[in-house]
Amino acid sequence: MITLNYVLTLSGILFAIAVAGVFLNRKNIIVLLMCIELMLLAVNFNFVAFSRYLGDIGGQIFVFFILTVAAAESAIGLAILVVVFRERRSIEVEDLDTLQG
Amino acid sequence: MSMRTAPPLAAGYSNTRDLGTALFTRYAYPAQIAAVILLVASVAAIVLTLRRRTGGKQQNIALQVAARAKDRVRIVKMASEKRP
Repeated sequence: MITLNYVLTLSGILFAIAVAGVFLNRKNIIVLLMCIELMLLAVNFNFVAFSRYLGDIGGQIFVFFILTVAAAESAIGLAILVVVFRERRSIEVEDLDTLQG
Repeated sequence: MSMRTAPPLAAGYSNTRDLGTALFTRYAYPAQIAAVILLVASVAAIVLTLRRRTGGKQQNIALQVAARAKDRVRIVKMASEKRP
C-alpha cells in the first residue's frame, strides 16, 4: 500500500534534484528554466498527495493554477531567452555578466 | 510521521467529474483569472520575440495620398538668356 510517506519522499527527491540542478548548472539557461519547472512539479506532487490523502479537492484545483503560472513563466522565460540570444549571440550563464552581479 | 494511507474511495467515484465540477463552480472566477494570465503571457512572449523585417520594399499609403505637387516639382523663375 502506498503511504503518504512514499509520495512525500519522492516529491522531496524531485525538489532536491531541481535545487541541485540550479546550483550545479554553470552552463545553460535552458537547464535552469527546466530546474525551476521541476521544482514547481515537485510542489504540485505534494499538493496532489495531500489533496488525495486529506480528501479535499481544493489541492488538485490549486495544481491547475500552479501549472498555469508555470506555463506563463516558461513562455516569457523562453521569449526573454530568444531576445538575449539575439542581443548577445550566446545563452551561456557566464556571458550574462553585464550587470556585474 | 504516521504511515498514512489514502482513504478509500466510494464506488463509482470519478475524480475527473469532481475536479470539473469544482473548477467550474466554486473556482470559476480564479479559473478566469488564470485564463487572463495565460493571455498576458502569450501576448508578452509574442511582443518580446517580434522582429520587424528590415530591408523589404513597402509603400506608405498615407504618405502617397498626402503628397502634393509642390513636394515633387520645384518651379524656378529666371530671366531668359540670349542665344549664344
